[in-house]
Amino acid sequence: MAESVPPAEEGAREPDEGYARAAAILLALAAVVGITLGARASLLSSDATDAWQSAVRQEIKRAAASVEDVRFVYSDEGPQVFSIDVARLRAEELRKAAAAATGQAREVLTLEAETYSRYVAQVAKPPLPVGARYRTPEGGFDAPKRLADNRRRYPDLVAIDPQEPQRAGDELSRRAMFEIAATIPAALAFLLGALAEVFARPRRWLLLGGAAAVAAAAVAGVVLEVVTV
Amino acid sequence: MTRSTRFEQILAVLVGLTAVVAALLATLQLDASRQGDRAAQLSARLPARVFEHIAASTLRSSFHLDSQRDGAGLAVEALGRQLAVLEKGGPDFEDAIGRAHLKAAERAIEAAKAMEKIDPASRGVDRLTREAILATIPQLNALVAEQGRQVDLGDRYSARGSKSVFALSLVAIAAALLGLAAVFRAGAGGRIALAAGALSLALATGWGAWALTI
Repeated sequence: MAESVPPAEEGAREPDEGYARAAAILLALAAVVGITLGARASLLSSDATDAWQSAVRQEIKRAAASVEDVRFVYSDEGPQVFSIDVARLRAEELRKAAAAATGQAREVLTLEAETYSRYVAQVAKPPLPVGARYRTPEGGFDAPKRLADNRRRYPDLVAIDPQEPQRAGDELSRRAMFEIAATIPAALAFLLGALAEVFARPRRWLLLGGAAAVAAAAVAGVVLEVVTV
Repeated sequence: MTRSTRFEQILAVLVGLTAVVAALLATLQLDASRQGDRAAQLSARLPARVFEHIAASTLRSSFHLDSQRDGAGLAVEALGRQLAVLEKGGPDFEDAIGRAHLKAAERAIEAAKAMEKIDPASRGVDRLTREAILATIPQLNALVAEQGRQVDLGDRYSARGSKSVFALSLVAIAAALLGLAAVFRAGAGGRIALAAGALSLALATGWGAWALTI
């Protein structure tokens, strides 16, 4: 036969059971919010690592393309073009000297000038950048202009900016940190819920505090999803 | 809800504290992991830039040095011709050729010096390539020093992360022991499990604090 509960005792037990249910709900909510935030932080952290790895890949690709262009202009083309420039200067000076000379000297100087002119005419041909566009006022080779033109042929490679994924990784990392930090109020809510289970007198305040803490954690999690940090 | 015993009160406090310590340690661990990953990534990224700067600046400076050397070589050749004519004698045109080549050499040296003075920015060379070809030894030293600093930073955060993970493991042990205490209740087994759980939690807190000092 079931034991009957006196009416007065039954009335006292009802609020107790209400508090017990509230404490259990608070504990469950705190656990769910905390675990959700932790899982989200873990995903964001993984995305941050991916973005950073992408920055490394892009840096290597960009640097390789840049060095190759510099090598081509300054090591392949530059010395050849400058040797042609020097031959051109020699031809010019020999021709000037021939104009001022007479007799055999004039003939020899003209012949020498012609030799260098023919050399220039023979080797100064495309694809070498020997046109006026790349000649400096002093008669040298404008390597930076050639380099800039060469780089513009591959705009995709010039446009590579490893700082972009770097910044994205930093942003994701910060977000992950804030998400994981938001588990602290959820844990505090768990602590308050646990205390509410066993301490009768401050139970009401413990539950209120716990509810506020778990709400703060949940709100922080939602806000972090929509704002840039 | 019935009146709680002292044992239950201590158990509840410890369980709640376990959650808080776990959250704090998880934050510490994630921070160490993030900072460590970033430092490791930068320490892998910076060598690419260091080598790019070394290669590009060397190619450029070699070109300019060789160009000026070519001009100087031409001048020496022209002077040699003139000296030979003066010493050994010879037709007049040899001296005229020598003088013409000397003037060409002077112009070549002037052209080579002017080439070096061209500002790559004025020709539209992109910023990163510009930085690479104009890199100086102090700039390279600074990049290498930064790369080394990032390696050290990565090591430091890796050590902190490892300690945090160990502290989290202690928290997990504490949680298991407190769970055991809840099952055993206030008997001898329960009290031992409770004490061991508390000890494990204290150790985890201490270990986490130690990780912070690294």
